[in-house]
Amino acid sequence: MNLPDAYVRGFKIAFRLPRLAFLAYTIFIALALLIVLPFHGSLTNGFGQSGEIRKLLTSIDISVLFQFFKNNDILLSYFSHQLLWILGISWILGIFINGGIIRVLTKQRFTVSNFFTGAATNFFRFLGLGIFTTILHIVFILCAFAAMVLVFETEFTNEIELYNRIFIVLGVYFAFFVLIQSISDYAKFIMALYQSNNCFKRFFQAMRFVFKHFLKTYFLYLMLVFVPFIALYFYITFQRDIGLSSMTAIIAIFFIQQIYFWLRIWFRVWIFASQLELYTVEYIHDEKVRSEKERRIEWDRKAKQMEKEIEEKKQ
Amino acid sequence: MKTKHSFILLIMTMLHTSMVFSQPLFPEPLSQRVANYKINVELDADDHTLNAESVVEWINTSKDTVSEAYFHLYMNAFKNSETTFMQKQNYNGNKESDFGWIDIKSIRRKNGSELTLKTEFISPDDGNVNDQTVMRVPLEISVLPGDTAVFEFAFKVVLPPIIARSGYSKDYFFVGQWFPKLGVYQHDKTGSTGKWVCNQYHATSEFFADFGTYDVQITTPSNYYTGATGVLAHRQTNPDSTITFKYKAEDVIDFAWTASPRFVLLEDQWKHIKIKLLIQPEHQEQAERHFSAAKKTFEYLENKLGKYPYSVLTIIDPPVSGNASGGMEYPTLITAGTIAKLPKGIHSVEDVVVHELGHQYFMAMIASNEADEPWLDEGINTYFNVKIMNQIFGESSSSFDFLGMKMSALDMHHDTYCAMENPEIQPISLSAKNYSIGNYFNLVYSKATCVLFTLEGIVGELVMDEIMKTYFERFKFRHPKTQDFISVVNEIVKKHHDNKFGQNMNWFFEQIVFGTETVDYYVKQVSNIRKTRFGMFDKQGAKSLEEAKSAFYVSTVKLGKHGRLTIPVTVEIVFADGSKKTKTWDGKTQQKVFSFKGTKKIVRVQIDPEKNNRLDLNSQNNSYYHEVTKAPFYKLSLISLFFIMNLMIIFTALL
Ligand SMILES: [Zn+2]
Repeated sequence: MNLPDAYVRGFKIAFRLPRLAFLAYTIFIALALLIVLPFHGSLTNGFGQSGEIRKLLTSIDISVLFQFFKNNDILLSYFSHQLLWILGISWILGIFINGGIIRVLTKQRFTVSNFFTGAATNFFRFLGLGIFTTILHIVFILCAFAAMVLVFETEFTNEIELYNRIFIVLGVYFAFFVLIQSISDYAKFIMALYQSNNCFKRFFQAMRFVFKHFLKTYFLYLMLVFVPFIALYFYITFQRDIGLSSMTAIIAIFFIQQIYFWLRIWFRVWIFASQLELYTVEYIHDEKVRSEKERRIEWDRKAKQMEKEIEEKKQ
Repeated sequence: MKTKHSFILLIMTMLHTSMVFSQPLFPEPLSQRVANYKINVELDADDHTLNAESVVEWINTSKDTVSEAYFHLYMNAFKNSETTFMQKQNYNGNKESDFGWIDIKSIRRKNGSELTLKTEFISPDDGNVNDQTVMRVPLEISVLPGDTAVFEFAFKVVLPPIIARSGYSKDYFFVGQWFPKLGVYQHDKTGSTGKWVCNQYHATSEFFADFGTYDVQITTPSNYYTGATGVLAHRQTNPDSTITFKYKAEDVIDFAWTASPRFVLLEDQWKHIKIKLLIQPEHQEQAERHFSAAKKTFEYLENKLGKYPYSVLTIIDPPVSGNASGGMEYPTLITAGTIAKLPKGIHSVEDVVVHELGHQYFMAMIASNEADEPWLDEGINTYFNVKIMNQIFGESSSSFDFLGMKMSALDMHHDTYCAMENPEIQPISLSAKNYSIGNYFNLVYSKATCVLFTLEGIVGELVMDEIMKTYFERFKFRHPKTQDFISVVNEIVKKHHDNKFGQNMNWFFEQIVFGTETVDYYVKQVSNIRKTRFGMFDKQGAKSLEEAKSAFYVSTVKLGKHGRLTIPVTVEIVFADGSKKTKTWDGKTQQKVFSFKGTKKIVRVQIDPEKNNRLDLNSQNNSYYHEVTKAPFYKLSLISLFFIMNLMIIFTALL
């Protein structure tokens, strides 16, 4: 299967599953609101009847925010703690949602119960994998950090050279990041398809698959990074052009923001579907080739044995 | 050998040099020219050393017979960890090349005695025996009033890796505070006996010197280009693969120079001033940002203060590895500092050019004692720095305007002052040596700027302009003190406002410059009590019944004040029909109540609507809005929602 085929087949599947993305989006927004709503309340209380808040309408006046957080210094530490919690929960939630999405994709039919059954049955399977890949990520982050320290400590003629070195370190880190994520996706498919719990074995099995079909698997995941990045750029440009200086604009941007997030999650479903299609087709192909090869070897062996027997009989 | 060589060079070029140097830059001296220097220096770029000879001429303009001379040897600040400078600085060094110093090989009076062995190091500020930044030279033959003493030096400077303005970074050299430099012989008050004012080199202090002339020859490897104080009078390549640059400066208080083979020289012109920019090749795309900031600063300062009399300004752009020499001012030479690809919305490069160029007025021409009264120099200069940045970029984004975030330069200084753990810790009038590095910037730069903007808020912008212009005109090429500035303020304020703010403005300076008082004005409560009028009222001698139909409001505004600083503020009260009332509160009490009776409710109260008081520690509580607009809250929540959702998606590995 070539790359465009994988995209098209994935798109066809994802196109039939908009509600899957919506469900995942709903879980996200619900969780995000757990922190945003209290933040909104704290802002309203903190500013009280002050007119200073008006200065934040046309642009973000850092001085006003500085005064606010100076007067309400407890809020900053409170919300950073909250944010850490939410991110921790997100990590676990990610494992849960991935399980649901993969089940829906393998069944190619979305029902809420289908989603949650998948999420529940795959949860512990993916948890081990999640911990393993997170450890790998931490190792690579530490390596990148060490490389960065080295970059700053090595002599440089000017900062352009420094920028280039930083760029290279980040580029190499990013390449590994994509690789780990990509392998982890295929490991999930294998674990779900074979109902296997051995995350190490499946990770290395997925790694073999990824390296065997390196360009296809790599570019498929790369799309998952670049398309949202480009979408983010357009979103920010759009928001800047519209400005957030009136209630109408704020409401409009709110809806566009939600569409952006839904699309982003839906695009993830699309890429997941493409990856799954690629895996199934290539794996079956690989299996066919393998069994054909084995059959031939067996046939050759038998033929040789027969020849040998005939020879022996002749003698 | 190198000294010998430079001596031969000196003789060889003397003839030509004397011709070049003998032509004056100004038809009439602008200053008294008390301290005049002729220096011949050779840079050994491999050894990072300078071998030099100098002839120093000092004119005794006092009425005293002077029997000793004091010289700054600033470079000795970098000699070891125990110098007064290093004790306040985090600096680690473990090999000889990590340190810098100056060795006086010889010193003698012209046609007179050898003084080399008679000199001694003294530490007039702190008695630190390890500090060798001030040298006392006893004179066998005293200098009579009006007489001139001429000293001949031979000295060697070992440059440190760049630290606090001076030193080297690879092939970039910035050489400031490098030669034996005279202190200032000064009288405390008229009639008293004078003394040498010659402060040690402190981590927080800058400099104080007499005006004079400088004829300096700098010899470097032939692939180097130099920039220096004054005008480049002549340049010649020598047979030994070196090049000699001859600089001449008049009516300046110091001389600094730089050398590097990597500089790109660009030039521009503003009126009579040639602007030379020695920029790193990787920063060349920002050349126009330097020129534009410089030209706008010249225009502003010429308009507000007076003419920049020199014919040249040299801007040095140090490489990133030498950025410790950036953001520094010397007469007609400033160092800026930037990084490649600096976004246009971040105005740091313009800010540093504007600031250092401002010092051409408050340092190079108004030569107050920066070690003793740093606020007069850094404070006033930062005040102009902010005003110019506001004019260039607009007030709300004068510091930066980047990714939808803005900050005004004045707010930045105000916030710096407000963010201090204890804003009452020290007044701004102390000597530089009394501040920690952090407090020095927070108070001498930031609070002083807020103080001057507050003064402007009280007396008005036009009066403030006249104060500054008068101060500059009266004290240029002299050494004014804080009291001189206050006298000008009192004189000009009296001229325009008579006794409106009291007999004089001393109350202002006592509280804010010499004192440490702080203030936070706030709106405590606003109430609108609805009342109706009814009953029997006398009307034209007869009793008449009024029914309860026309309601009116008794409105009360309660204001409060934290802190003991007294600054008058205006209070704007807006009623439901849009009408406004402006009241003045002298701030002398901790509370103030204003009451109103009328048919409309108060919908808005704003203390200091013009933001004249820049010393208020909390501006958030200065206003009351009956109806608070909700949109900004939603905007901030929406932005945080976007940020959190994105983070969550990344953390769920869904990307
Ligand atoms: Zn300064």
